[in-house]
Order: sequence, then C-alpha cells, then structure tokens
Amino acid sequence: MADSSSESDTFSALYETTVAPLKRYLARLLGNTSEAEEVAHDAYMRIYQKPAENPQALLYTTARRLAINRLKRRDISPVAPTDAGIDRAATRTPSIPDQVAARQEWDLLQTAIRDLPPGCREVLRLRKVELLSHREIGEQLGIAISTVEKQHARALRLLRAALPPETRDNLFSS
Amino acid sequence: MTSDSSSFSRDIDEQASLWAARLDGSDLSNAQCAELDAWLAAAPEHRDALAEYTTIDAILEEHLSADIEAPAVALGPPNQTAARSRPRVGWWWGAGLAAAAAVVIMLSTERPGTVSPERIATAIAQRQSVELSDGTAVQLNAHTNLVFEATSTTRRARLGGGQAFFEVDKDPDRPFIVDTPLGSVRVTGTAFDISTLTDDAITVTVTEGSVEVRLGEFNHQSPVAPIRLQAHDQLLVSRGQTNLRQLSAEALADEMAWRDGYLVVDDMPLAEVLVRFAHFHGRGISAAPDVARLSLSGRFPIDDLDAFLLGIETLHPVRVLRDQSGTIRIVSRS
Repeated sequence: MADSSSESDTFSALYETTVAPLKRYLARLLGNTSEAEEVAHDAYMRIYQKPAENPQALLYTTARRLAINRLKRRDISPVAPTDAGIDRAATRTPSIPDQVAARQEWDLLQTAIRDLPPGCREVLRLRKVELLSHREIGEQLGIAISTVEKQHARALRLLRAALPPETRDNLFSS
Repeated sequence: MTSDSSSFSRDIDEQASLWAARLDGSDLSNAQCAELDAWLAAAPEHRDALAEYTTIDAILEEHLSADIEAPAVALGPPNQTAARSRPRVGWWWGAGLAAAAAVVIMLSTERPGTVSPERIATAIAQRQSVELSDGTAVQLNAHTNLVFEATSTTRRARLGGGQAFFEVDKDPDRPFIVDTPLGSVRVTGTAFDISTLTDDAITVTVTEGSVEVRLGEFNHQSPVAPIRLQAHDQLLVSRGQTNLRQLSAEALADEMAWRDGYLVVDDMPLAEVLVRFAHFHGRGISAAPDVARLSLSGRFPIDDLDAFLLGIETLHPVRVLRDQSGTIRIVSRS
C-alpha cells in the first residue's frame, strides 16, 4: 500500500482506476446512471483522506451502503403519498435545498448537531457518516438496538426542534 | 406542508421520530410493518409527522458527513494545507453554505489530468462569472450550484438547481456534460444556457453550436432518445412534457438578458414570472389561482423585487400580501 506522503496521488490513482467500474456497479444497483453518479461522487468524498488499509474495499463498501440507503428511501417514499414534498425528499434530495437558501438555516442545523448530547451525536455519526446499521452500531457500542433506535430518534427530534418553524416550512414545503 | 406541522403532540413526535429512525437504520419485521401501517392509519397527522422526520433524516445523510466529523484529521504531511476541511459533497446545499459570496473549493491538489471537482455556488440575489479549470466560461444566475469535475476523458458539470450559461471550450476528445436532476446535456464546444428553477422543469437554450440533451429518468421512466439542439433552439421540459422551439434572434437575446440582470418576458403567465423572481431572491412568492394566468410582458430588473411588485400592483388588478416570514402572495384585488 502506498505511504501517506502521497495522499492525493493515491487518491487520484484510486479514482482513475475505480471510477468507471464503480459507477457501473452502482448503476446496476440503483437502476439508473444519474443516481449512480451522485452516489459515486458522495462515496469518493467520504473516503477522501480517510485512513484505510484497503481504500478500494472501503470505497466499495461506502458506495454500496449509500446506494442501499437510497433504495430504502425509495421504499419509504410512499409513506406520504399525498405530499409531493416528502416523495421528492425521500427519493431525490435535490428538491429540498431549492428551498433552503439562507445561511442561517444551515448554521442553525450545524449548531444543533454540535449541541446534541454526546451519545445521541455518536449514534447519528455512526449512522450517517460511518453508514453503520442500527444493529452494527449496537454491537460497536455494546448497547441494545432499541437504545440505538431511540438515540437516533432523539437526535432527529432535537434537530427538528432546533429549527424554527418558518425554517422548517422552508425545508419541507414545496 | 402546513404550519400545523410544527405543533405535533409530544406523543406523535416521539412515535414519528422513532419510526423514521427505524425505517432508516433497521430492517422492519413484518410485525413492525403492520404496527407502522396501523399507526399511520390512525390519524392523518401521523403521516405528516413521519414525512417530516424521514425528510430530516434523508437530509442528514446527504449533507452532514463533513460536519459531524472532527475537522482536522491531519493525515497528510503538514504542508498539505489544501486539505483544511473536507469539502462537502452536498452541493444541493451549496447556496446556503456559500451565502456570503460565490466560492470555489478545490478538492485535491491541482494536478492536470487528475480528479479536481470544483464547487461553485451563488447566493440568492447574486450573479457570478467564473472560469472552470478547462477554460469553459460560466455565468451563474442567483441561487445556483455547480460542481465541475474534469478527467482525461470527460468534463462533467452538475447543475443543482438554478441557471447557468456555459461557453464551452472546444475539445472533441473530452465532451462536456452537464448533469441535472432531469437529464444531461452533452456538448463538445458551444454556448448554451440551462435553467432548472423548479425540480420538475428544465429549459435548455443554445446560442451557438449544438448540444445533445438526454433526459433522464423522470420518476424512473426509461430514458428517451437524445434530443439534438442547434443554435437558437430552446427545449422546454416541464412535468414530463417536452417542447422544442426555435427562437428569433430577438427572443434569444431576451432569454439571455438575465446575464445583464434583466428578466425579459413576452406574454408570460404571472405564475411563471414569479418562479423566476422567487428563485432569484430565494423567497416564497406565489400567486392565487385566479391571477396565476395573468399575462405579463416587459423588461424587469430582476434585482428589484419591490419595484416589480409595485409595478404589477399598479398595472393589474392584484394585491401583494406579505407575511412576517417574508413570503409573498399575490391575490386578486376584488
């Protein structure tokens, strides 16, 4: 494995050799190329500068988990058939940020994340950054899945509550 | 979503957030699925609450990866200052992040032929001109996000909402592709404009050369055949309907007037004009159904929303209502 002194060279080399097969792999998983592009891009960003013995394996694991989360959200989308907002949000996040322009909203969310209770924040990080499932998080932290679920839910409640109602309207209305 | 949504009862709040968490991070058992169905069926606000939480949850995955981590991991040698903070991949949030000014963030050290995504975002009520690393000149309208990535074989830009005018340097070996949520536009060397102000509509206008538009999977439909556009062609896609038309030189100039800060319209329904102002200013502006079709013509300085509103109030039988959150609604005066 290349040493870390040529971090960006290594990354570039990894990118060059993996980008085409990774996108094909993702396109097969997701059934379309545009989402495959997005997930691939997201995966590279996430593994960039992340220490790994086998960066390519990490890349594929990350990409696969991101793709599966997307597929899951497609399944969730019928949850709100009457509301175009969630439908788009669940399958295709692009539409939401159309509404989200002001910097304050982003800052509020960032502050709220910083202020989460440590346990809550760690669960959220393991789920959203490390992309671990609730079961895996439970194993890693040595806590019950139901506790993981509750911490995750609590993080969502605290973050939602941290956004003032008009900001939420911006986030959710169409 | 209505403003009621901010006042779910505590119980609904807890249930909804828990279901959103489970839907995201666990695999529901059959019993849990039945339980969820029953809970959703019990009251309509359950569904609204769950929808809010699944939305928040989805946003978190897409956009928080960079923030929640401790920033300075300091892996590389100390001189690698280019890696100060991990650039965020969530370009859809770009306008908010870069609200102060348009910015360009380089991902890795600049080396020709290697990966170099560039992120450019304009804030609301701002326009910006930039030159991409391949020499392509781009003008971005307000509230527009663009990510550009060049490799030895392609040049790829992702337009995440907003409007941009591209003057692409000719390079037959490296096609220039603009991806949008609704499809992609492929060119070799040309000048064209893409506008995608709402997420179900896109307009591609070609001023020079030709481009090829591949519409993507609207709601997972199979892609349609590529559409070839020549100079003066304009392709409008809205809610799955496509419409190709040829613009006169004058009409083309009108379409491109945004680059000088003007919105020029000729017999355009009020609602459509409002979409443009709303996007530029990053505010909710809407028209009541009975005035939405009111036809407008004129040349409006897009920066000056108040003048525009005053103008339509003066010239048309409408009234402009503003609420405290800054949302504007236009209603019939009667």
